[in-house]
Amino acid sequence: MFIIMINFLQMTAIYILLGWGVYINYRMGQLYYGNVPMMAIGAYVSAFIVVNIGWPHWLAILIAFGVGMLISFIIALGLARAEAFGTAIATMGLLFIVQTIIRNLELVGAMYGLINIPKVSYLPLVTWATVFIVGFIIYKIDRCRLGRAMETSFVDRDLADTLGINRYWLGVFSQTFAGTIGALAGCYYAFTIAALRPDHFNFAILLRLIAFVFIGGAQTMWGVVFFTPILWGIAAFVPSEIAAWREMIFGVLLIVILLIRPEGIIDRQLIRVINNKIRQFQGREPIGL
Amino acid sequence: MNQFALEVFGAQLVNSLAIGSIYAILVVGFNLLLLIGGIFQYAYPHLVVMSMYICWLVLMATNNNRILGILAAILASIVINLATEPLFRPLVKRKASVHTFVLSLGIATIAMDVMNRMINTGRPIAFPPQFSGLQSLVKVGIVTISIGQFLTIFGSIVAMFIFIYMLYRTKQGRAFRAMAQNLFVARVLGIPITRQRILSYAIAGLLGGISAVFFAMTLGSVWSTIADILALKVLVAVLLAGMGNLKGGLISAYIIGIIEGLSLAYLPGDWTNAIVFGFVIAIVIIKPKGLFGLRA
Amino acid sequence: MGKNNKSTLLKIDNLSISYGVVNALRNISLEINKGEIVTLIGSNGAGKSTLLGSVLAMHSVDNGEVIFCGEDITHLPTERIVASGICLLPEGRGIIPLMTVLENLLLGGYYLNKTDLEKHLKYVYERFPILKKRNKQQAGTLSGGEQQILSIGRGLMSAPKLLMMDEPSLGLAPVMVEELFKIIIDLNKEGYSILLSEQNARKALQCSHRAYLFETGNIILKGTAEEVANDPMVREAYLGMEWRKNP
Repeated sequence: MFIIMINFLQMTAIYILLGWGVYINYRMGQLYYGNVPMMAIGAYVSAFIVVNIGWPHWLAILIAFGVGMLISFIIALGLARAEAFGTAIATMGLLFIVQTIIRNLELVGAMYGLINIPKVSYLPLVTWATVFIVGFIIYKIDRCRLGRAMETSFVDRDLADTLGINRYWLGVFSQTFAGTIGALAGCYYAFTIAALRPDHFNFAILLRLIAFVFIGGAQTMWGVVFFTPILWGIAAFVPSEIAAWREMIFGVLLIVILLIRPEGIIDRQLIRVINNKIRQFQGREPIGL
Repeated sequence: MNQFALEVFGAQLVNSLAIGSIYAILVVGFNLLLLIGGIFQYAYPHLVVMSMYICWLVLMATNNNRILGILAAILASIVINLATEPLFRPLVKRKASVHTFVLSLGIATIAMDVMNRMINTGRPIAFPPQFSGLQSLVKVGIVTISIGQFLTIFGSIVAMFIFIYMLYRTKQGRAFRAMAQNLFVARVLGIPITRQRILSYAIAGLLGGISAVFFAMTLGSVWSTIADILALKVLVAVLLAGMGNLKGGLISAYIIGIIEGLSLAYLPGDWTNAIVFGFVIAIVIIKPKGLFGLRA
Repeated sequence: MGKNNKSTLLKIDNLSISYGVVNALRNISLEINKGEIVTLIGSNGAGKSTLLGSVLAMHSVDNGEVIFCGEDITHLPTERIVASGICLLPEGRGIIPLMTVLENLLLGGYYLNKTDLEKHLKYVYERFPILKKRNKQQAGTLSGGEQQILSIGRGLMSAPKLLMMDEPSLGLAPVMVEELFKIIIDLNKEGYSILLSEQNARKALQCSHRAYLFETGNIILKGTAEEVANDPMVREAYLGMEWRKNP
């Protein structure tokens, strides 16, 4: 039971990190899934370092962080120019390429994967600390000029250009950011699961990710936060007969949400309402809607 | 040695043309849904694979009745595609094209799950040789091709011609072209927009069903995971030509087919798909608007 | 009252339309009788295009009614309204550039059967020989004036009872503008009722029977073409004539 709980906490944290990666790019109107291939890279790099080279976990994570940042930066340089569908397809293709490379690399165990990755007892602490730090960063980004620039790009691209917003570098930043935290998520994944196989990093993760982000609400960062545990909880805590159908449940929920409330369950309006309620409670003035 | 190499090359060329033909039909269907239906239907190939599964089920149930199998595939594709129309309609009304992509991912998830769980307990399905025509070989010059490949290439060309005829010589085809170029004017002229949209789903379904049949003939067997790979490759062809570019799409479909066919022949198997996808990443980076640009 | 009823072709009653929070039209009431040329004048953004579009149910209506030949068409789908005999020549001609002249004309007769289609096509070709001459040419390569003629020809294909034109003279050379208004008058003589929206107020008022002046979604003046043309405010703002107080 304890193990299930830990697993649930870990996977939730990982999916929140990945979900934020999708969110921060969607803020600009881009559909970027590069964080999933980065997750694979991060997982394998950190696992390889710990298992085959024997360095300590924290060093492996650091190196994977650096590698992830570098690779996603390079890719972002090219992809930040493209429009929404282009980046989506390119990054999905990237996932497949990474999967193929891993599958054929004898160095990391090819099809059979990397095993015997030692567990770390305080991993959940580190993972969730990361979640809070990243969440804080995103919260700050949303509120500063960067966030407003992204918002403008989303609403009106030409307007953003005339205002001097450099959409290209903004895109490079978002994509690199997303890719880097994807790599981090990959490290935590590797150390949680303790055995990696290339087909862990498949399209099913992508589809799940999109479901979590868009059901929860892609307009704000809170959609990801609240609905990842709820939706992942369905997978983890529901009786196993129903759990087997979870992909279909996610798909159906996604379709239903898109039909009746495409902004997602938690949208900006709701946040404002909640914010005002909090302010009322504190005795402060409510912000106009 | 030379003769043999030439034969191998010839066989691979035929294979590439067959693959390219299937992609061509799917590109046309996809672009139709994009320009007229107004949706980015990532799950289009998934619905094609589902039709193949249904064809197989019918074949099993009717003791390999070819006619019924083909009819089942085509009918299933049309019905399933039409069934997705009401799901997309609210998003199309709002012109939320990114959300149509997300919706199509949801549909893809469900389709994959249905195929993985409910049909043949998720194992690959194999089409009987009489259906796939893979065994019957014909020698054309120095090249040996299967009946299945021959029908695929020939049949696709016929299908394309019929489609283009429809587009240029019928009232509905003209309406499609008008809608693709200026939706407001098309509406002002009294073209029944919603009806035309639903028609585009039906035609896309028809094309999907036809390609399902050809796919079964050239491949001989199918497994559900092929759907995502197929989807990416079709989208590669679409992006290569520029989204919405019908004529360019046909050309790029065959280009992708040739790249894939030749990689299959001369490179270790697993890398074929990776090369195709590497190609699309390069295209997206270098020429985001596609080789031929965006044009109806 | 009886005679008025019979000859009222189009009646718009208290129509209000808004885009989100913006009021595009506020309580618009106007009517067109059979055989009339009615002009809407007013500056850009005054709501003229919105009004023409709303007759074809292109916009969602807040309140009000549109009645055509006695039938309430306010909430009918656009294709039904077009099929019942109203035709709009949109602003900027609205021709489909990558289709031939002939194909554009055929689009105009979408609901006709084969015999009617051929008959109407023949009529349009006779009336506008230039279209026959260029019938295989891509419509996007025509000159501005030719495109306007194509737009009109396409509109005539469906033999409409009411012809609506949105800024037909926009972007045309002066010679072509003369030609255009001559065509409009001729069409009217042949029996077509025409609702015109124009920024070229002078020429439009010269050939119309009645007119309405639009400003920010309201009708601020209406009357016969002469009355409107002689109104001092109109003379100064739209006809470019200096307004001098009577000494």
